Amino acid sequence: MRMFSYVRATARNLVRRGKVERDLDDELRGYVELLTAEKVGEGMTPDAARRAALVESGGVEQTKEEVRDARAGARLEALRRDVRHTVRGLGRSPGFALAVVCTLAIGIGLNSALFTLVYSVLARPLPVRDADRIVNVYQRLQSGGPRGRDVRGSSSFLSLAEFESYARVPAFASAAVYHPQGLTVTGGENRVVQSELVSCGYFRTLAVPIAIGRGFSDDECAHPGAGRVVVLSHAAWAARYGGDSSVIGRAIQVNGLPLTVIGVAERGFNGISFQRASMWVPVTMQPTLEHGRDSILVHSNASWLTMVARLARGATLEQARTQAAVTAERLDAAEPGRRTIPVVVRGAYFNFPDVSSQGAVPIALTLLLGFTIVAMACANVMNLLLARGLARRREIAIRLAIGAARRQLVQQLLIESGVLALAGAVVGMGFVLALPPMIRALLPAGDMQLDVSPNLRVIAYVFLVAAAATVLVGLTPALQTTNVDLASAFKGTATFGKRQLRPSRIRSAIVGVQMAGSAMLLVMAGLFLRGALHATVTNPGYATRNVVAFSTNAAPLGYDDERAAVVYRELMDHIRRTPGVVDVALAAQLPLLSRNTGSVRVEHGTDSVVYNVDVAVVSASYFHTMDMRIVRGTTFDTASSSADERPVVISSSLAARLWPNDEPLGRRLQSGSRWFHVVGIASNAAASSLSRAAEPVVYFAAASPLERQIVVRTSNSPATLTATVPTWARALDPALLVESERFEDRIALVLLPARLIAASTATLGALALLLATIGVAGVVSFGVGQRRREVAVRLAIGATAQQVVALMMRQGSRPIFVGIGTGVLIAAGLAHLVRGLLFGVSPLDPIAYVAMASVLALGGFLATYLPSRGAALIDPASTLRDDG
Amino acid sequence: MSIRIAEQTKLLQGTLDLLILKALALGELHGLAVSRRIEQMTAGTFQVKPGSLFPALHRMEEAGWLVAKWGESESNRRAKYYRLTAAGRKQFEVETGEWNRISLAIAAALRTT
Repeated sequence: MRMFSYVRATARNLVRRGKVERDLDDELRGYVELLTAEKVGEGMTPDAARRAALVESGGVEQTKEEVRDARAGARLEALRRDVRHTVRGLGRSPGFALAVVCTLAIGIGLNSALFTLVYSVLARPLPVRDADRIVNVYQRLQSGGPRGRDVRGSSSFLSLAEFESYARVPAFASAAVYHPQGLTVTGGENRVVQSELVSCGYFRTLAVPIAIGRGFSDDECAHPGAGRVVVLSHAAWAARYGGDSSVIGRAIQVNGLPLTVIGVAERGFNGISFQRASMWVPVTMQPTLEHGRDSILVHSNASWLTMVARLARGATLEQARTQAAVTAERLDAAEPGRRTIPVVVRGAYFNFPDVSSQGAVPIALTLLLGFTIVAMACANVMNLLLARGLARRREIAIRLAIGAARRQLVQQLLIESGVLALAGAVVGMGFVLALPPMIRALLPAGDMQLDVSPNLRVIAYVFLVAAAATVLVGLTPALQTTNVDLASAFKGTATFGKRQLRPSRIRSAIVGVQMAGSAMLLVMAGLFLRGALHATVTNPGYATRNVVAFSTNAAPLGYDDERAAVVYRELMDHIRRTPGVVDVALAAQLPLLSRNTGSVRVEHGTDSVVYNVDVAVVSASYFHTMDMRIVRGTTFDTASSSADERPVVISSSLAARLWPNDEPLGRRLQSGSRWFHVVGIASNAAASSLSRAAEPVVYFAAASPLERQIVVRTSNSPATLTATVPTWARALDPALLVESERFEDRIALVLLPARLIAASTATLGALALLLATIGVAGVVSFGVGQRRREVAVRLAIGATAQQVVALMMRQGSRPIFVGIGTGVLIAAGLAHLVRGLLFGVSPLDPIAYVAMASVLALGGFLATYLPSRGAALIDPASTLRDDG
Repeated sequence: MSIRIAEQTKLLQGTLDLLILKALALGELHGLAVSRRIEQMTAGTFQVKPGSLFPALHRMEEAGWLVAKWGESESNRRAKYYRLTAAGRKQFEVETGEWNRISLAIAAALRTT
């Protein structure tokens, strides 16, 4: 009650200040009038009565002041006055205010935008109810897991059997798994629909209501092929079935199978995979949907499912971890040699353990970049505040002299930097707000559900950074500015307390930090640029231009090998006859982006050695199509092949490793249980990464075209081909869909991170260098100003203009050299960590270092030379006379 | 003997609050009337000056013990009238009890030899 009325009063006093003041004024005036009337009533003359009343009342203004002090929110009011005073003060130097606010806005804004990005990808709760109770369950398998584990996506994913074990953990109220997959829907308009194969507790676990119809029942997941049913997303239902509820109970053709639509999920729910899902099918339908060709569902030694669970009421994440560890021990006991570390984490899109190990470097780099940006901005603002503080020394000295407490002045200066940081944060929020449209523009429209809109946590972060910036930026200048020796301040000579750092020292240190930051950013930028350039100019070992790959949905449509062979032959003949086509081949996939690895065993006398290799499955014409050479031997066609020994082609790098001193042709190697013999040696090519051009590769012959891509190289642009191949396919079978991918697009995608990082570090580095240069120039010209007399004396006793300029430059150059040196060392250390993104360029690439060091040195030279020239222009006679 | 509360605000703030509550317990009054009532009740011992009266009135209003509204004085002048709220009445009882306890205790203390 009392609290409430106090809060109400505070609000009234702050918000309706004008009325409250007028009321007080009226009340006190009324008091004096009543008192006067009283005295007139006692027989005094009106004039005398009024005078007496005023005297008796004491000072009216003083009374008002006391009422104001007693009022609720008096402290807030005082703060408000200080803030208003500050804002008015800043309004008098709009240039300064604008420079500081803009600098801080860039620093805080970019930093917050990078934070938002990292947070959204790694930690933002999933878009479901009570998302803070949702966890993901993964496992880390010692030494990559048991031999022969079938890994799809990440080795930390689970098999169905493993999920069923973990699902029994008592701390989980409910659990489910999902696996994102594209399914072909035919009938009417044919298309590949992004879907999720899910266990039947999926909607229950995520607490996603079913808008129409029903969700999955448990018996629909009872055994493989049990539930021929599908749940649609609300968006897909509205777009493809016109929002018609009679679709419930109807069958639709999915991968050639009739599945009954049983429900439509809640509006706005698009699954919890990174790619928006439009359909959900029981996971137990997996082998059926693949027409029996792939039954990973029943393999217990496989990683393909992502598990989500909802914590039971009262259960904690810790309990879930402990209990999952018990389950893992049971799994290990059942399988000798297996060692499992379960990973239970709060639910998010990208939180599987691989992300934290593989993604750690880019993430750390992003956050470091964000930190550097804000540090650079703060350093610059601090420099500006120090300069402003020097200019205000007289004002501060006067206020101290007339009795202001130092604490009060420091508080006021901190309020100033707080106001500036807050304004910077508010303007900087623009960067955070610009993030969602930017991401939408960069990512394929509609596909990804990366939500980067600011939420409360993001906003809290922005203001936290602003608060940190306030202290970081404001404290040193505030303490510095208010620590003045009154006598010397009034005389106009700049002397400082004995135990105090000279402001020029602090400014030199700041300049050093800025130079280090810009050196680090620029060297990194140089390395990334070199890397991206290197990757585009060096030969990866195959053609990259005018190569296009076509993939079809023949496998999901249920084609058998025979029918696929007919259709593919037809298509490839068509393509081969098209003018401009150099050659056509089959391949499991184009190089780069994803990696297909395996191991081969060879016998050296009595020893057998196992090698890890990259695996490619291709047709004979692949090498010519990709413009690779068969260095020795032949490709598959002309080689004699028996039933139990098949031909393989290996890369020259593998040949050199397997049989360094012997003839590799005709040698045998074992893969899985089968023996192969080497018929040809292919030129080296970068299989999985542009930075590793000489990886060992084994090329197996593609037997069936099913699940293969048609790879084509043309002599000019393949644009017409990408347009016509789908129509040829439709003519062969209306349900047959063809997608094309240009190899150049894939390479651009591979190079995108390096290019993005190069562009952003270069921009920021240049910005930082500019700021640092201005800072250096400021410090040097300040030094020149302070040492006027000394310079004048030197000039008077015969020093040349060059000598004094050099003297001045020496003073400014130390922080520059120290800064550049430190920055380059940091960059060299970081570069070793991000070697993978440099595409084979050495982390100590001399060109990048020398080029960037020259840019930095030039910047530093100009920043010291230009202001130092002022020293040469000093006229000794007049200077010594004036100051003498 | 008269005491000017303004000079001893700290010591007697609780006393002033209690006197104001007492003054208003009988009905609504404006500022000057409150100070006159206190003078009258204490036989002129306490003279409350505006410098301490008004801060106290405003503070107590903000605490929710009093409500203020504008009205006409007996001499047809606009004046702000204060009235006890239910919370104010309760506060009056509490403070009266408190005061009685303290004054008894102090009186007892002074009696001991």
